[in-house]
Amino acid sequence: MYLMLNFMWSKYELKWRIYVTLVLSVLTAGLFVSTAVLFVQNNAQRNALQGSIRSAGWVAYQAKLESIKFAMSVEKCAVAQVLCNRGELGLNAAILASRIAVLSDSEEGSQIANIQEFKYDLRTFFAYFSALSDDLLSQSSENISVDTQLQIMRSQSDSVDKLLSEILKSAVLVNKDITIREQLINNKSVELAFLMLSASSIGLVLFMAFEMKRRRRLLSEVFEMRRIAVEHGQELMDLLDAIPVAITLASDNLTTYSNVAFKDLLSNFGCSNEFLLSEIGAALAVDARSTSLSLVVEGVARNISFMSNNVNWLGQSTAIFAIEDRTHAMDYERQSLISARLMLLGELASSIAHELNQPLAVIAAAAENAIGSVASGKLDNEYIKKKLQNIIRQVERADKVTQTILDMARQDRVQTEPFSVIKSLHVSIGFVSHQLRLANVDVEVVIKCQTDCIVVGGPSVVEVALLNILLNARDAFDGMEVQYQKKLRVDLQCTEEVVYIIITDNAGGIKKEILDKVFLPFVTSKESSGGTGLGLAIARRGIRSMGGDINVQNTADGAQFILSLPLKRVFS
Amino acid sequence: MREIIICDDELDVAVELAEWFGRNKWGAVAVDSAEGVRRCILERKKSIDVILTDVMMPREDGVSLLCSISASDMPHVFCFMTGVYDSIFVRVPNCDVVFRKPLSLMQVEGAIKRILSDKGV
Amino acid sequence: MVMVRANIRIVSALIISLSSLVVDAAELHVSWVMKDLPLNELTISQEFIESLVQSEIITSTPWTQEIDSFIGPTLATLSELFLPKFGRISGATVSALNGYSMFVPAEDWEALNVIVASRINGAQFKIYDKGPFWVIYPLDEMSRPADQIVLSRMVWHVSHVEFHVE
Repeated sequence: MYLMLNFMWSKYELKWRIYVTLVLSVLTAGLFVSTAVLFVQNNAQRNALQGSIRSAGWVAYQAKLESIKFAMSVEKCAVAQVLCNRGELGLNAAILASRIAVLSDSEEGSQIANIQEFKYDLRTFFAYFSALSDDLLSQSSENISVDTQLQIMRSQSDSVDKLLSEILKSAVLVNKDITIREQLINNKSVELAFLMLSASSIGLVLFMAFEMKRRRRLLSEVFEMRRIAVEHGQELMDLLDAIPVAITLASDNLTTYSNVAFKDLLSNFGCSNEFLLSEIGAALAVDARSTSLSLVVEGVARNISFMSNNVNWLGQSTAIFAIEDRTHAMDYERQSLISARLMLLGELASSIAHELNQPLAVIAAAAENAIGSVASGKLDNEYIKKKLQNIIRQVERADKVTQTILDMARQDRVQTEPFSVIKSLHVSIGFVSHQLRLANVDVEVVIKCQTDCIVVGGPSVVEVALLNILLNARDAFDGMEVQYQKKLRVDLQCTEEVVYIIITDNAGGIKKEILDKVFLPFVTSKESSGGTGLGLAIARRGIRSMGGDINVQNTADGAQFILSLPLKRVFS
Repeated sequence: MREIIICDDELDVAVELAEWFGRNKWGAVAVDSAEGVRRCILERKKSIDVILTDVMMPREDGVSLLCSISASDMPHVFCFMTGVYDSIFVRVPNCDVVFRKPLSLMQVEGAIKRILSDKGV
Repeated sequence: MVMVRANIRIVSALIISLSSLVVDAAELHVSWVMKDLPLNELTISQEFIESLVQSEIITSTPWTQEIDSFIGPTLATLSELFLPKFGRISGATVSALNGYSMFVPAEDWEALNVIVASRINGAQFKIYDKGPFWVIYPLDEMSRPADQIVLSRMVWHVSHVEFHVE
């Protein structure tokens, strides 16, 4: 769940990352550009406002004022000599000249719309009035009479006054700078910049709001998924508790979780989980593939089968153990095997009885004959000796039978002795030969081995296996007509490493439905006659424990069992 | 002298029995199959008094032998002996007695003699 | 509104100028007052002015064509011709020959070294050339642009400097 979420998020994020970056870049660029434009406009306006405020009109006005003052000084001199102040006249002329200079040659003056037209005249007047002021203000001019100059002064004063009036008019009316200012103020690009600024700002705000909403939604989805994951986790725990198999989780040798079944098992056993896990750990240390173990808890033997694995649980590497108490099952198995063996023995009861009875009959008869001979008075030592030897032979024969029975009963113990397969074959055949003869089965034994065919294991295992196969063959012939030529062939062949015992009959073969199941427990075709279906299962199990195997196939007219065992290498 | 044919696929048993009967003045023959019994009957010409046979034998069992013997060849006493006692054999007609192995030779002889005398033979 | 006020000022200036003595163009009247109470007054000549510590300002102005060199004593130097016993000089009222006058705060000449220029490019000012004296600010060096207030303080035809003591 976590990995899926991560993957989805990163895919999602990649597309959105590109989209978000694009949109943000556009909006931010818009903001910057509009701000820059506004700044530039603002600056230009400020400069414009600053510059022009110096207003050319005022300069013209001041010049006009000085011209009036000069005119008045001239009139004063014209009215009365005594009132005529040469210095004052000269000063006024100088100040007027300087005002004219400002008008014609200064920044302020140049603001006036059509000042260029007046520049020549202004400069002419500046020259006259500056010269006049020099004259009037210098000492040497004391002797000069202003009377003669008054007329000129008056006319110049009039002329300059007229000129200044004109300039004043145009300055007031048309101010180049004001025009520029107005243009700047009316500049539509400012509006455009404002529009862009507003659009960018609103866009950014909307985008942010949208993004926030989206992220909030994603976040709530994440929370929801997390909640579901937790819920699932809880459901998983409930599931584990419901499973009837004992399950426990351990991380760093500490138990992190045990289900109900496990706790029941522990209380059943009467041991702690540390003990159980340490036993399992010890078994795994010896053989990493082991899946079962026996232990003794408070004097009681217990059998468990277990499986273990490593998982990632809540982000930690955890070992998971599934444990099954097989004590009863194993007891049942063992008892089944025991009862199967007992039943096998039961099946053989008639054979056993017969096998024992034969030697007994001979012993009894021979003994009676010997007694009879003695009783008749004609003591024939040789005859008696012959009888007694016969008796001993029969006793040995009976002993072998009992030994075989005992061996079969003792199969619980695993035997690992080397023995000759050929000998076991003879024993088995000997055991059933009578029965097979009774059933009119021709038995043919062909041994194609030069050696004794020594294998390692339990002779009784091989004998019982062969016995089972042979008895099955005998049973298979049941119900067949007397005239039918019943044949049973036993071949013994060996390679360098393996010995094969092949038992072939012509009893019709094994039914197709059960052919691949004959070795499974409780599979039998002899249900009506009380077959347990365990015989072949036990036989195969025994042979397999010796490293060999039993296989079966159908021939044209019967069945063929192939028993194989690994040969023990005999150093010659 | 009375004639007895003893048949058992376990020849040792038949031989011991034959020896016993032979010592006790019987004409005893030991054979190991039903076929042997029939051959014996043919060879002997004179009638056989007793046939004592094992039941479970390969190729032909004792019961089948009994059924195959004609009325003319039928001995006075026909007995079975068996290592596997099964009550079914008791019900076979013409079977006088079934002995269970291991046998007591004396008792067997005694029983057969009694049956013969009962039959007035 | 500006024009009306200007008119009133012009008329009063006319009256003052008409009734005043003609001042020698190369003389400067310097006075110190404390709240209209006269403390001291001096009339100093061009030579005297030129004998004081001179400062040079090289700058352009809205009324001149090029970057010119203006030489004259700083207003600080002028103010120090008389040191009052207590109080400090807060500023000066600079009056012109045509009656125009403007208050120049002391912070201006303390920060900017405003001078009363008597020479332009080495030559003496003619009256018709804004002489005899012109208050000059170092416009080119000033970080803030030459606004109306600064320009209005650059009085030319200076005839009288009155220092205010507080």
